[in-house]
Amino acid sequence: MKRPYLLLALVTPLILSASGNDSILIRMNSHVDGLRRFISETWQNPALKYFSEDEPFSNLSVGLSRRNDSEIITPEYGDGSHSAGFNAESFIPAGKNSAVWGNAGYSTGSTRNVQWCESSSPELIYPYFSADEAGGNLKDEHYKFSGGYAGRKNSIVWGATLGYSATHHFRDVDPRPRNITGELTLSGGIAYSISADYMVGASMNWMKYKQSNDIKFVSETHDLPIYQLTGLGTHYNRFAGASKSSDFSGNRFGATLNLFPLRSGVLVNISVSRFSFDKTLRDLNKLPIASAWHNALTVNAGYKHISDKVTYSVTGQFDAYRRHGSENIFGDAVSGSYPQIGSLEMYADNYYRALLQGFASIRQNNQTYSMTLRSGYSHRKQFYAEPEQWALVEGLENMADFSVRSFLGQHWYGIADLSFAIFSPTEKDINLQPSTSPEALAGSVETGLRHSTVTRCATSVSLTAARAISEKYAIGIGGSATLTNYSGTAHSNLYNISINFYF
Amino acid sequence: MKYIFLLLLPLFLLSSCDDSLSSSLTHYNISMNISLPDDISPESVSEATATFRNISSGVEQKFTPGTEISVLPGLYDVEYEAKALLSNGAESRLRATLRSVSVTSSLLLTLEPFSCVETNDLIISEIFFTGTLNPSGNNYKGDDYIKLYNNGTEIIYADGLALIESKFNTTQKYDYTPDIMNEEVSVDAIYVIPGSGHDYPVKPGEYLLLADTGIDHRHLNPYSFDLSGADFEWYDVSTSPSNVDIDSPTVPNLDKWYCYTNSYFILHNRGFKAYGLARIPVEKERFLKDNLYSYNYTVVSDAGSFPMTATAYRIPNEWIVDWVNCSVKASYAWTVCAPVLDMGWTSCGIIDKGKDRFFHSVRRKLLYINENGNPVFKDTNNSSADFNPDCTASEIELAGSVMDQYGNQCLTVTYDGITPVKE
Repeated sequence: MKRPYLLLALVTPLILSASGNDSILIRMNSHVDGLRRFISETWQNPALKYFSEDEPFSNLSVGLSRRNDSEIITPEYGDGSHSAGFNAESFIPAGKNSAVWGNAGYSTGSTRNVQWCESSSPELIYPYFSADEAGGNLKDEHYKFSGGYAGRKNSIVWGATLGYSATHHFRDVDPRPRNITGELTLSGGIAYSISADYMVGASMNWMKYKQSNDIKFVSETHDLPIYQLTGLGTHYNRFAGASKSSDFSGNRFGATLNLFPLRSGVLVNISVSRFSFDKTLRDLNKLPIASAWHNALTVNAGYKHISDKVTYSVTGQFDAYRRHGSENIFGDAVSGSYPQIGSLEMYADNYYRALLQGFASIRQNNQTYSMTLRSGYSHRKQFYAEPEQWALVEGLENMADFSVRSFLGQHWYGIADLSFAIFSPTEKDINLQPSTSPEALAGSVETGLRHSTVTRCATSVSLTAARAISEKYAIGIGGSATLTNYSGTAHSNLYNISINFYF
Repeated sequence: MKYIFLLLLPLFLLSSCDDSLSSSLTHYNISMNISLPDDISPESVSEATATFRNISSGVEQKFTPGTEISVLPGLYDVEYEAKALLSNGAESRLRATLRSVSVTSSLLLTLEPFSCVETNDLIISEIFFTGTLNPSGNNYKGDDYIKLYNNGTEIIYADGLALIESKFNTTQKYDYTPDIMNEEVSVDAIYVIPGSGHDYPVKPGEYLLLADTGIDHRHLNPYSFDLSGADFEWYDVSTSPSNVDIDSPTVPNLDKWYCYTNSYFILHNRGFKAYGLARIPVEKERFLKDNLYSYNYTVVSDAGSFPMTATAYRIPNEWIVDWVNCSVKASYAWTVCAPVLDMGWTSCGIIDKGKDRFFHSVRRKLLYINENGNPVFKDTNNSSADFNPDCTASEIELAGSVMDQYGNQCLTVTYDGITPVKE
């Protein structure tokens, strides 16, 4: 438990050095500007992050989060979760031509009734989970720390960030997974002023990912086989039950290209990345049983306009990824050693999405009214080679978000936000074949796929209130509720509340 | 290279509309050369089927003559089965098997089918190797047993029948040299039913119960059952004072020819061994003198390779009456006999040391009840097909004693662990 305080101690000097010329509520209003979030793709380049804020702003927050699902919607995320934690973030223009920023956080909580996944970071390592038929509640702790610096000399801006996050997932009853994950991220970028209004930028980023996954049973009378899942309800039959310890190791390399208008103008962001990882079974002499790569592309281009009263932006965005997984095959194990005789690419997850989105905000006296509209089409197909099976879903995504930000007298500031999102499937095709997997696994996978292919409506409300306690400091409270309905068959409720200290 | 790839990635992603894999999977064609026994002509063979079981995925593919055999690269167990019409008009089943066939290119496989021969002797109908747990959850030793059965229509005399345990484990494969497995089995325990030839008749439909310790185990473990009525027990004079066997006063002992241990013999309760019956046509002393098998193998570990030497006793396949490979589903590596004796294997529990294996046995599948009301069990020399794995032990059913680690009582009596005995 000392580590959260250590993180806070590291980031506090940075935070406490922050103070701006404007009052805290004005700086807060600038920080939560909707356009800044709307073009967030730009800030992946640490050099361009130099332009993300004009004034220093820091926030210390303590919050709670809770999710309740009426039934399991995605098996690896269970049917609910809760967490509590603190977060500290700060952005400080340091001197005339540089900026530093930092972020640290700690949270602890639990995910309820996780099924068919005893591994952590399922979004990164799917579909190669280690799993058993019992599952259960999974406790977790998260630590994160990151910092960055950007400097400007004449027409050139450069920046770099370094971050580390770690998680610990565990369970106190059988089966008892104990998973440790670590993510080290590093990015560096540069931007060059090609005119008085435009910067062009480029950046590269790298992430090192590691996970150790150990499952124990202490009961004298009962234990379960551990399955090494391989996608769409299949598993590596040969190693079912044989290995309770596995490791994941991966690297992600990415790059961005940017055209950034300092005020109004055309903006372009292109980012590409490749994440690849291996899964090894430690019990079998670090046997590498599977590997996968994940290539991703985002192209975001449009126009933004900034004036004193009206701000707007229209962009088109195209996202795509291809994730392909290979299973290594091994010959006859003689003398306890498995010779690798080949590798078969068996799993694919291919996705693309095209979006058209717009943002507009109008400032009137002490109020700012903002609206974001988004409409798009997405396509995702998961495929498994043999026995051949697939899950296809295509659909329309529409979202509308309305927010009001307002200064209420000299000391109060409030934000109200209301958003609606709907995903309407236009085509779905699920074909799962009987395999050697346990029936419960196949049923669980089918349930997860079913929820991803139905009409999904989400309504979200969030309210934030802040009160200035001096020119430099304010305290606030914020809360949000998101209700998601899955075509009347299931629903998910997500609640967040936080207490904040702004300066 | 990675950076070049990053530059090309957008083009790659945008140009590719294929929704499946990066490239189609390569399948390899398999040709099969079936080398029939001399007394069987190709014209007399019908209903041939080749089964390819992918060891990695567990997926089975069946092929019949005339269809192209095309499989993914991988490690396979291949089984061939056909019906053959003998010259005397009788029908016979032809079988062949190849274990752990590595398919990394197109292959020509040569199989030499053998005709299944009826031995007209006792068969192993059940092996209860797991034992029971006591109420505190600890493994109780001594109530393991093997049941033999007369599956035929004539009286069979059990005199001289040897109960044997394989030397090699089915969960760990080594290259043993010299390799005698096609001709002989290697054993580490031999216990023989006494008698002069006609002392122990077993009528059709009768069982013969061979127990580890023939006592009423309920006195020592309330979760166990009574074996004081067993037909025989294997008893060992232990040289270890802390590990002594119990000699039951009510159950005659098997004649111990050889056992690897200096303390007392129990069936391998994790299920790593094979068990068999043999008719050894020579005297004990001559057998032990002539049939010693010395072999070499290499153990490979993180610390290096270690050449090993060991000994066992060898028994020709022709002397084997029945053979059952036992293993663990998650740890199975190979069968420790020639395919002619047993093409498959059976098990209790899914994982090694699994607690749910206790109280369970492997039991031969019921085929039908004959006109005399006796069960007739499946015996095709393929334990995968002949046995029901993970059954409640028959003695637990008969005693109505505890059938799992939670203390639940068994209320059903079955022929084979599945088919209930009708009142």
